[in-house]
Amino acid sequence: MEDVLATAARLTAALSVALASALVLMSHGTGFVDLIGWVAVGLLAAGLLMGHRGGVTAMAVGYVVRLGLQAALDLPIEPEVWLQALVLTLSLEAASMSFTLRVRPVDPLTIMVRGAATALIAAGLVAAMGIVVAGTDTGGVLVRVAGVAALVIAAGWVVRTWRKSGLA
Amino acid sequence: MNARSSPRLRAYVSAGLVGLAAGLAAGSPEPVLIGTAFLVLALVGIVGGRVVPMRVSVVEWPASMVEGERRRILLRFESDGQGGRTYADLNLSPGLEVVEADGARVFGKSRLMISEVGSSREVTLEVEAHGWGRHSIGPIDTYTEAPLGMFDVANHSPGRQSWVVVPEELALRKLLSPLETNLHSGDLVSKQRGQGSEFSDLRSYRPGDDPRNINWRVSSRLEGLWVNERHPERNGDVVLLVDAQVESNTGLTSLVDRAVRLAAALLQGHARRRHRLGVITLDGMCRWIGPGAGEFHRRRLLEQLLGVYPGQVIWDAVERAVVRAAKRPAMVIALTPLLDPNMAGLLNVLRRSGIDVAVVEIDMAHLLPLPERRDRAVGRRVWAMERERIRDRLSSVGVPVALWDETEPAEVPLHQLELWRTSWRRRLG
Repeated sequence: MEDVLATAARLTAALSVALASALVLMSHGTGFVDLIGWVAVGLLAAGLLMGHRGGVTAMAVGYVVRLGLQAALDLPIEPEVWLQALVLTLSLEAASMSFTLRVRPVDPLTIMVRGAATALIAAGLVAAMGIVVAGTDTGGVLVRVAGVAALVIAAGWVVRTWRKSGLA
Repeated sequence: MNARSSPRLRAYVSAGLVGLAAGLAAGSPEPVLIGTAFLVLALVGIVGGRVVPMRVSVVEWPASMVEGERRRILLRFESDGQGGRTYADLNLSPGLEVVEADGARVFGKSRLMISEVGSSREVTLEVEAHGWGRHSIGPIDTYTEAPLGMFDVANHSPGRQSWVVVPEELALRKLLSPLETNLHSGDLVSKQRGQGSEFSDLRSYRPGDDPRNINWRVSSRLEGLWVNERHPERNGDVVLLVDAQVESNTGLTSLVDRAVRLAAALLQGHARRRHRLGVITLDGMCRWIGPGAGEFHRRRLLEQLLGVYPGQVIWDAVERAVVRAAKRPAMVIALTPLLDPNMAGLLNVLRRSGIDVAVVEIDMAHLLPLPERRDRAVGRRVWAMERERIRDRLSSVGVPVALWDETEPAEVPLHQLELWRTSWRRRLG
């Protein structure tokens, strides 16, 4: 069984890097934007190889920054955002699975199903929110003020929930 | 208790906040959409989960098992609140395997998954033992997951329960009988004369003799009164000398396995005949338990026997210790592959001390690879001749050696030894 878990950990790590690479390849960017994408993929691969969990965070943050740059530079955002969210979440879930399989007993099938379900939920949320915000002007001052307020509230909420959860 | 977040929780929170910030900076909704989705997932995972301490205790476990047998173990999981999906690593010793579990799903040899624990939950395990020795369960590590697996709570329950797994008993219908007996009554005919049922001799009546012993038939034919003399029935002392001096982590460890299996069978067989039993084991240390009787004593012997591990003994003072543990009138049955030349010397010393010794040599020919080259074949033959010489020398001083081939039943060498001992006694008159 230990061999099976080790093999599953390696396979999920490979799957994660493959999905992340496919995501960068799918969304056509310019040189600098692509560079950020590949750096994120490289950090993910290095983290998985060396057992550093920060690689997963680096990939997620790097990809979102890349998306922000694409939007700021008025580059076409392809494929659809919900599809990008699906593949990105799948990649992060697979990386997380790999770490979990390495450190503690876990049923590989259960966490694979859970990872897929989480990715579908994320994609669904993005698709739903995309429909809600479609056609709205997001460049106004009021929207930005509301955005900053939302960001501060979200950060505060996360910190407060984190502290209350006992994880801190 | 130790709560640990999943790598993706940090990733979702960080990417979520960065997504919101990037969206604001770029004035574009796309990063915000992904960021918000990640934040929602992270918050659902954190809010839904609770850090619940969990305790696991082993409520029932077997006192002992026979190899290949299945026995029940009862575990109790307790938590201060509703725990989510819980994984448990039972840390079973290598020879044990969980074959069935009631109240949990088994994966691997010693891992469980419990869908929900609640405040208390009992799980019944069916475990199977695949090898003799001391086996154990624990310490048990549990990992309780929050919903979406955003973090898990690890608990370490330090208790460890162990029990003895006895080798499957070899069928032994015939056992070696000690030449000398002790003073306890039993089923061996003693050489001494006294109260018993086995006729020994006639002698003339002396004042004080029991009139019931007068042989009237002989007395009527001869002059004077004649009485019957009888051999009393006594017990014997049997000491098993188990030689486990082989290199560990090699194929030769199977020799120790066979020696221990035969020793366990001999212990059971001689215990049934009510002989007093002792054990000397030579592994990394020389340990001994002198002859004794009773269930408790037998358990001690078995525990020592099953604690044998391949290793090299330091020979200083071993001879003295062994001679002291196996003093007359004990019969020593040595179970050894005769790999160490010191072993032959020890057997010789025991015999010279007047102790009745018999040797079952655990055959190792099948474990040796076939010599590929001519010089190696010659070397093997020289080695075989050297071993033959050791056997002959031992036999010449009254220590019979019977080779136990793996393919033969364990009774064969015992039968050979009994034949040798009978002919030896006849020769000595």
